[in-house]
Amino acid sequence: MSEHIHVPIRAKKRMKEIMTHYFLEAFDARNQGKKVAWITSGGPVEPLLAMDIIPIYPENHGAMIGAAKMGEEMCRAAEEMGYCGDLCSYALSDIACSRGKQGPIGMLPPPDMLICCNNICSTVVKWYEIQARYFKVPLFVLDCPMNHEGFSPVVEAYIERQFEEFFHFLSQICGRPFSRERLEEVGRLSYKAQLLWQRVLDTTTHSPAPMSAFDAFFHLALIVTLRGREVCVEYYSELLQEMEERIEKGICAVPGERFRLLWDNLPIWYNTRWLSEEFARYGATLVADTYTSAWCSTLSYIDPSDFSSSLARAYGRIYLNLGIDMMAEQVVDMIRRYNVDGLVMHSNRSCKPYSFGQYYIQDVVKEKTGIGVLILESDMLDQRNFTEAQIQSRIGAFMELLEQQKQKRST
Amino acid sequence: MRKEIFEHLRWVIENREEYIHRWRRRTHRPVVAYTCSYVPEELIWAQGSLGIRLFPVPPPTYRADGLLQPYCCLCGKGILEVLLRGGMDIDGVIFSNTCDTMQRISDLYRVSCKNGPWCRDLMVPCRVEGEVPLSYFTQVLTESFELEEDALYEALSLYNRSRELIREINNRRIQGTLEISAYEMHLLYISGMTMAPDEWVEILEEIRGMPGGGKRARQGPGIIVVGSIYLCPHLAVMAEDAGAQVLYMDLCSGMRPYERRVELEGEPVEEIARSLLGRAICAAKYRNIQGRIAHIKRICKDLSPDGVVFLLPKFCDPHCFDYPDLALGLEGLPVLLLEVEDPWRFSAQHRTRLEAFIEML
Repeated sequence: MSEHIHVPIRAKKRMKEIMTHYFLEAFDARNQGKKVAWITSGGPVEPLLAMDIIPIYPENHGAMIGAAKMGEEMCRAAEEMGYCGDLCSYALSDIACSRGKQGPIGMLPPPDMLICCNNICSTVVKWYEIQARYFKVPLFVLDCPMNHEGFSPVVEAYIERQFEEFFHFLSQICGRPFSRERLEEVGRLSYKAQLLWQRVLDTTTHSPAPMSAFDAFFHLALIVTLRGREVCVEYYSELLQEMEERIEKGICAVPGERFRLLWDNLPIWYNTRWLSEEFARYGATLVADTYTSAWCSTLSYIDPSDFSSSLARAYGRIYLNLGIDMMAEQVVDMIRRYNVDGLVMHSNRSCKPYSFGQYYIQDVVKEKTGIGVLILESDMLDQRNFTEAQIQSRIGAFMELLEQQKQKRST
Repeated sequence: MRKEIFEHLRWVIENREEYIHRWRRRTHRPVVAYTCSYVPEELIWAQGSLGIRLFPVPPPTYRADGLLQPYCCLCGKGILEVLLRGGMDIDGVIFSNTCDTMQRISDLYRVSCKNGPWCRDLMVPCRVEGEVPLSYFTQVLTESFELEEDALYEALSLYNRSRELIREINNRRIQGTLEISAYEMHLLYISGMTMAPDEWVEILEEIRGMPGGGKRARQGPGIIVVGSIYLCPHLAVMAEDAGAQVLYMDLCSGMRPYERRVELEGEPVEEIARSLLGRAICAAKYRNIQGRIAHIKRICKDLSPDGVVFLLPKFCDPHCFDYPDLALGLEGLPVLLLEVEDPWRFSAQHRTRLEAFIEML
């Protein structure tokens, strides 16, 4: 097969089926006698699955709202309730949707409990507080202090003790003892799925890349929502196999790949296709990103034979919970690993912990790798913060720069 | 006498750097700046240093603008700016684990000013209720400060006394038995975050001893002010000029940091941790789902204000998230929302709105 023909990824269809089934199960939870927990994207889902609780991710729903181009409408609705438009657009759209504003799948199944882990940001604590008051359900906050310069034993012990509280909280709500045996089973599956996800992402170290970060944004949904379930392992095994086949057959994400780029920060959900096509016009593939890789970034801290004792180490040290110098190191590592020509940073108005520090990371990347860096200011959900013409012209100028760098290198 | 005291406080606030410099020259002791009122100033004092609250400088913030996006609050930018300028005569900076912005400001200072004053992150828990956060925070404090018992007890007593005094002064002012304006209270709040505690306690004792006259009824409608760091005295002055009485300032630069006491009976570091976690809650902390709402409602119940003024700092996520439910939670009490971009500024538009609000009460 020629690499100049665009071939869609087959697994996409299967992913849609799994996600549909997952939401149907969640909507039917009450009839099945199951409980529903809303949980933050960096939160520990495995203990929920061990208790047969259905996890729902409002952030995942936020991405769906964004992809359906409903973000602006949702944010406006939240602003009418008194929320400031500068707040996180995931939070605003979730608040609006909970109060009756219909999203792409209507409204989320109502929660029996809320689980909030601040390892991704402090915003989630405020957001979940508001939702807990609204739904009148218990909220558990797992506090993971930021690791500015390393992970201290005191912090590890603090998180470990909170996990014990978390197990107790779940046990009280479910009215039965917490099952550590079941947690170990779920943990093994979760670890396996994360390993597979890492291998899927690593297939793009091959040039030309069989998939792009835009594909990864889509295929990410399962590792976020269903890691710890067999179906997740099966799905990523299939996806990995498909990627390997694509490499073998020379099928790539962007026909005639000339430039390999790294994406930083959350996607601009309402314009992923537009951005993908815009970069593809220059033969550029976004081969990797710092966002989707976050769901396998702590693999080295997990002991699959003793999962529960790894929880604090793994959940306490995810990418966004690190100091910016450690984040910069990881970005530089990715640039080298994926053999990247340029870095595209989304300065995301909704996500301060991800965005503040980007100017520093940009400097480190330039100094250590010499590659070009493009910063696009926008918002992951709210279209009002996306100026198409300006972004188009910035991408054009950036690609010209990369072209010049490429020519310089070849002479 | 009274005039001299408040003139001196005004001088301290307007010449913070000079005050710090003189104190250092006089005592030959280090000065440590801290960014958040969850940092225990008594432990800094017990170590032989003066702890001063780091305030943001007003715009322009050219140096910080080069490191931070336009959607960063001016409080964060102003704090980074003052550190990057490097003019303060300080030995070190303690950052505290508060909002997302401050966490990144800490990172940016650490990576940008390697030759400047030392910096350290005090990882205050986000959760402030329960035995687990208390035990964690006690350990953090124990590891962060090297202390001698005598110095520790002396510092605890001194800071306890200073907080008792300012609470008493504020209470007597509200009751009408001590004549202190809201502007003068503002001077007290801010100077207390700058001056050496021994000197400040002396001043507070003098103010406390001032003749109060008989008990007076409340003059005009009473308001309380709710927000984060706000350093401009004009709000208080204008509110009183418009005929209102500012009953309470639940600000990080107001009464909030002073609303705690350390028990001297128990294990001292644990008692400090308990006192900080149990104090008037900040919007960036989590106690329970009613945290800030319960706190503001309690103030309203105690003081029966006629209205509440919310100072909402632009791009301040914790306070912006709290506002809608807080306003609703006040159950019909008139509310004025003023969005504040620069914590040093009170605009003409703010003044007009405040005056209209007070007239309406």
